[in-house]
Amino acid sequence: MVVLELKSLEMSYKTQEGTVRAIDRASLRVEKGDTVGIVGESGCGKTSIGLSILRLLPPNATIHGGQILFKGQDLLSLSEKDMRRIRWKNISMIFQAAMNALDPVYRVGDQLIEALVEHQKLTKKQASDKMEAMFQLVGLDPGRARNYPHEYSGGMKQRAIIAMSLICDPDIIIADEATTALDVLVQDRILSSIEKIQAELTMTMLYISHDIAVISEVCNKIAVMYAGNIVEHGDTMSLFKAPLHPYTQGLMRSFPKIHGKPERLEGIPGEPPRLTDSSPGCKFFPRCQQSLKECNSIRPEFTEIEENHWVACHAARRSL
Amino acid sequence: MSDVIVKTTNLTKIFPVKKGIFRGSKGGIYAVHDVNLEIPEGKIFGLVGESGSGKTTIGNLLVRLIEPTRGRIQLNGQDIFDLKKSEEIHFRRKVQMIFQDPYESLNPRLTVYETVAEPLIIQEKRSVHGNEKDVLYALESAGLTPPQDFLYRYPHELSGGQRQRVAIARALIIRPRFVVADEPVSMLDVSIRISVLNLMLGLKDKFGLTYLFITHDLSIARYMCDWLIVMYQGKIVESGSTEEVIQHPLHPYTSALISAVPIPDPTIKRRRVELSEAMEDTRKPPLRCRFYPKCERKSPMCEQEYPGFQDKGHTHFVACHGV
Repeated sequence: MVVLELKSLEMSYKTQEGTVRAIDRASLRVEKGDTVGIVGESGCGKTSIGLSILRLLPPNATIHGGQILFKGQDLLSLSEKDMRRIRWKNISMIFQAAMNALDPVYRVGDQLIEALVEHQKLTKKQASDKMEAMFQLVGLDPGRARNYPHEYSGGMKQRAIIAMSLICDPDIIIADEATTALDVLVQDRILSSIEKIQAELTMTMLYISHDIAVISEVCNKIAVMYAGNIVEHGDTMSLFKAPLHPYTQGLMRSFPKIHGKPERLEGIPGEPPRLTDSSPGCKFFPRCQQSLKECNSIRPEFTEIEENHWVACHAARRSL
Repeated sequence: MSDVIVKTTNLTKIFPVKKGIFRGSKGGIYAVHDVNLEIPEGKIFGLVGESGSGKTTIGNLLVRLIEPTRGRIQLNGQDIFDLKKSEEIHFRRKVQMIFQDPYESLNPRLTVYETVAEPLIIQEKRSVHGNEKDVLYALESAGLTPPQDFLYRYPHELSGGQRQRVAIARALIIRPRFVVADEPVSMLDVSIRISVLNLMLGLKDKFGLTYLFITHDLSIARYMCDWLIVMYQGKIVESGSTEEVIQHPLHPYTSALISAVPIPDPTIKRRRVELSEAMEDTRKPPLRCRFYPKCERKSPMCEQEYPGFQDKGHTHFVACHGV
């Protein structure tokens, strides 16, 4: 079952330097039980995708094309009132530095209970039991539920936030750089809780991160974004085994590894483009080492090259 | 072994904790405790550990941004906290720093030319104008080509990667011997990190530099460093040549740290080491092993005395009773 589907979504921000095309005809499909990773650099539009789905964009942003289908219903056509019902209950989000999202004057456990009483109409007792179960699931000691957020460490707060996002049994969770500000050992513990949740609840997730290593461990499908475009999309195994887009290939060469033989890496030459630039061709063209004549003038279409493996690249398409 | 350029002896930094209305000092946090380092000339010396392990404090001490509570730092055999005024300028010429955040380390009101020429004006008493030749050479060495295009730009016109290259040019223009780089790529986009790291590797050979490379990212540390020092709560727990430490970690903390690094390869299933969340209070001097509350290999011995360094051969040292 398709839980969430983006159909050539287009979104832009109005800024003093001109219109920034943050998302440019992005298409993506998330099926039940999938964890789809969106990987890309800062400014590539990955966070904007998350915010667009929840319709939490700032006032200078406009969505001017495409559809966001949640269980077949277009979220863009809903009223703000209906949208509010969907947020958290059906689609919840874990933000980067989400630790600050906890209310400092309420006990952590009470914040979860409040959400349950409010959104799911449970009694206090039922809510309390569910809160404790949720604490255990994310690896928090239920005995700490009566503590205030400042009594928690950064990793514990992040786990409390994950518990918050799960508490109303959402259909899908959007996690945006959920472990980025954390130390490796803390990150590892959060990743292990996420894996446990995936296994126990068959959770559907959209996992946004700049770190391809984290994405490869957590996600079964990956979408690679560059300058507002989804340039490649496929299942994790085939994307890693045979990345088709030159940008994906470059990303894989940009991360030093802790295992295997030490190797010299090349990275990707040049710099990410300014998003105000509206050249007609492929956005990756100035940095691409496999570019063809038409790449500078014609936008490559996003096409399914192998089964369930999509790519937007003239060179990749020609080589097959 | 080549000559030692920087040596620390029992280097300790305690940050006072002030409390109460009269702000009386109530003890302090042991950020760095009895650290002994010998940094060989011409090598890249890596300092790794989590936030709060004291690695940035060591970097700041080595460039004299802060003063130690106890202990000594020697540069080419000379104590850097016992310098005459005239020697001080000489010290600043030899030691430079590259900071983590290129959005904060460059003055937004200065052009690239003014930023990069500033050390020449201060250290070499040059005039404000007429340093173009040196600045162009420094910019070109830092990979900003063509360099004349960058001279009169301001930081806000540059990308993060370009800013960090300007910071590198500024650090290198007076030909230092020893450079402290504190998380130099952690704020940069992933696709340009490698090119900045490769640049730093090239500059090391070109100018015969020695780096102290501070990072929380073990994969990057492995890529860059000849030697690794692993820190935990102000103490060195393990040190050795990079491959030796990464491939055969001896300290339980190092093993946990390495096992926690995600692997960008979906065919490999990583083995997790789960550590307890208990932590030692860093306001107390380290009498027992700092890692004791988390350690799975602890013995009564670990609680009684702080483990000393053992030489395990293959240029590998560890501070752990359990090894």
